This record gives sequence, C-alpha cells and structure tokens, in this order.
Amino acid sequence: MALAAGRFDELRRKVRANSRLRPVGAGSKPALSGWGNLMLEDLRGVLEYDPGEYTFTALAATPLKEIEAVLAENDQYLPFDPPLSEKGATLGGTVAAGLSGPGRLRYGGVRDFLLGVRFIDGRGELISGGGKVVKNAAGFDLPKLMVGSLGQFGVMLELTFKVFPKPQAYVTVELELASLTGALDTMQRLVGSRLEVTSLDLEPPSRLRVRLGGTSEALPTRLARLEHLVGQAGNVLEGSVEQATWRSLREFDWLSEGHGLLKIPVTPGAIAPLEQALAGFDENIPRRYSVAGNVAWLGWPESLGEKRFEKLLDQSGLSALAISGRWSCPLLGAQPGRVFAKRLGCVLDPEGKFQPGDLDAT
Amino acid sequence: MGVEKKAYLPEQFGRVEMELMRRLRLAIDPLELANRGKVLSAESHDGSNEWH
Repeated sequence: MALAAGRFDELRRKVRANSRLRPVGAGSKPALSGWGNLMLEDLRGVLEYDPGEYTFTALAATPLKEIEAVLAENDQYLPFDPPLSEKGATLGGTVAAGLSGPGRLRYGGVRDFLLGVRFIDGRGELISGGGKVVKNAAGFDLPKLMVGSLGQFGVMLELTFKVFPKPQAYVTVELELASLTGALDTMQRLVGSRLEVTSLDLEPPSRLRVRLGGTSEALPTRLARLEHLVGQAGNVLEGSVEQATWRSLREFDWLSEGHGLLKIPVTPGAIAPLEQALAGFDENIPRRYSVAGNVAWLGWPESLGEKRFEKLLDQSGLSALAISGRWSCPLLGAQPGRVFAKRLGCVLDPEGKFQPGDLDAT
Repeated sequence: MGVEKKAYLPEQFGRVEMELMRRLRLAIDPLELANRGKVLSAESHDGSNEWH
C-alpha cells in the first residue's frame, strides 16, 4: 500500500499544479476520455477483498476483467454486468461513465453496488466518502456523486463495492415476435410477471432475449413457466453459448465500423416513436434496447454527423451520452441535471480544472 | 446513521470531509431550509462551527 500512498501524493501535486485535467483509465470509452491528460493505468490492483463480507476495495483503474477473475474464485460477481470489460474497461471508468449492463434489470446498476470512494478533489484534497461496509449511511453519499460524473468532481483513486454470489446456472430464451408492438407487449408482460427475469433485451424490431439465473434444479420449471406466459417456445440457449451471447452484448459486438456508440436513457413507451424516427434514415443504424426497454444503445453513423443526431434527440425529447465516435461534447440533448452538477462542481472543483467547459455544448 | 449519533460523524470522516459536506450542503441549500441539523449539525451564523 506504500506504493499507492506515494502515487496518491504525486497525483495530488499534479492536481494542484495543473489547470486542466481529465483522468484516463484504459481509454475504452474514447468519447469520454477524449483529450484526457491524467493517465492512471498504473493505478490498478485489488486492495482488499473479503468474500465473507461480500465487499472489495480496488484501485480505480483496475480492469474489470481482473476484478471479475478475483471474484470468480469465490463464485461472486458484479451483478450489474459492467460493459466493455473485454475491451479493457476499468472500474473507475465504469463509475465515471455510470454504465451498467443487462443485469441491471434484476439487481440494480453500478450506483447500487458502489459503497465507498477515495478521490482527489479540485483543490488537491484527498477525500473519503461512503464506507467499506454494506450497511453504512453516515453523512452525505459522496460515492453516488461519482456515478456518471464524467470525472468532473475529481480523480477517483479507490473504490469499494459490494458483490453478490453468482447464480449457479443460467438459461436464455430467444423469442421472435411478430412485430415491434408484439415484442414490446411481451416485454412488459415478462417484467410484470413473477418470473424474476435476470436480463431482458430487445433486438429491434422483434427479437427478445430473456435470461433466467438461479439454481439448476429450478431453471427447467421457470423456463416452462416463461414459455407458457409468452405463449410460445423460443430458441433455448444454455452453457457456453448462453454466456457468450450476453458477453457479446456487453461488448457491443453488434456495433459496426464507422459508428459512434451512444447510450440513450429511454422508457418502454419511447421505443416505438424512436424506432419510427430511425426508420426515416437510409443508413444502417445498429441498436439494442436493454434493461427491459429502459436503455437504448445506438450506433450512430459518422457519415450522418452530430447535428442530425441532436435533431433526432430534440424531436424525441431524449438525451444521450456518447461513448465512442467524434462528438463536440459527450452529453447530448437536453441535460437539466447540469445545473445541479455545476453547483456541486463549484464546491468540489472551484477552479474548474475538471470542467473545462467541454461537457456543455455551446 | 441517525440524529442520535450525529456527533460521531467527524470520527468516521475527517476534518476535510466534514468541511466538504458542509460546503456541498450550502451550495444546494444556502439558507439551510431543508431538514436543518439532520445529517450535518447546523452551523451557527456567527461563524463558529459546532461540527468540528
């Protein structure tokens, strides 16, 4: 730990000495790390892990893959399925971008698993927030501030998470519905049921992937109930094929060259109008809807440009976060939360070192 | 943590953290109208801090 302490002091000096700083971990989300100049890739390693307590603390730039491997030794995992781990994504980057994968549906997102954080604020102060135990509710919940903060409140150094035991087995059913409307109806029926679906993603127009996790003995019965509920048998995936299917979705393997990845928070009701708007483009716009229609992941063709995407967001009343591709600013569309974030920024970063203005479109 | 153990908060967090929470609170609610003294002790306006 002596190594980390020395490095923390060095980073504090750097923060004090510089007027424009953006931390970079692995750079797996280039639209966000962009011009980043504070390289943290050496800030890696699991510092504490107590399987009995179901918590761990790791340095902020520890790759998700490394954490997944350590947790897997005890059949534990991060249930929110953090995206891009195969591409090197780090724990800190996942928090800063506020990204969760398909498992968010059943278990909650990254914000629900983050317990504590140590970070350097804009004044160069080392701040500890939250705690290292699951039941901690003292003071303001500073860790939550870091989720989706895009580095504007400080440099994360250490993060403490809670973890869950891994389900013993999974089964996934691929359902091909007759239409988008049919798929959306079925999606709502599944969410409202008592099936406790782990993940539920839509590949438009009409393919649903429904994942169930739990004990191997119970899965066949739950699968039968699922098929009974939706009134059709689907293509059943198990074992390594099943794992690979979700792994591939978490890595956005469906995204093709020349497309910038965007995360668009939606509601199930917003999907049909958005699909209609997208049908007006000749270009291929690859996309998936995750977390039972609450998140859209969309690949915007670079050839279409930013202006036309902004127009689409305006017309749909949506906002987006750019993950990759070329954008003038990663926050797109209406961002009413910026007012609040800026007030907090005045406290955590009074000189605006971490907010050089490029988070807001001009 | 409830109001009863509020006085122990500075033992869990340090001076820097307490001061930061205080300033965050004032940035959002400068007149401390919302639930004054529930999470952080209210600061008396003569500048003395009972929360140190």
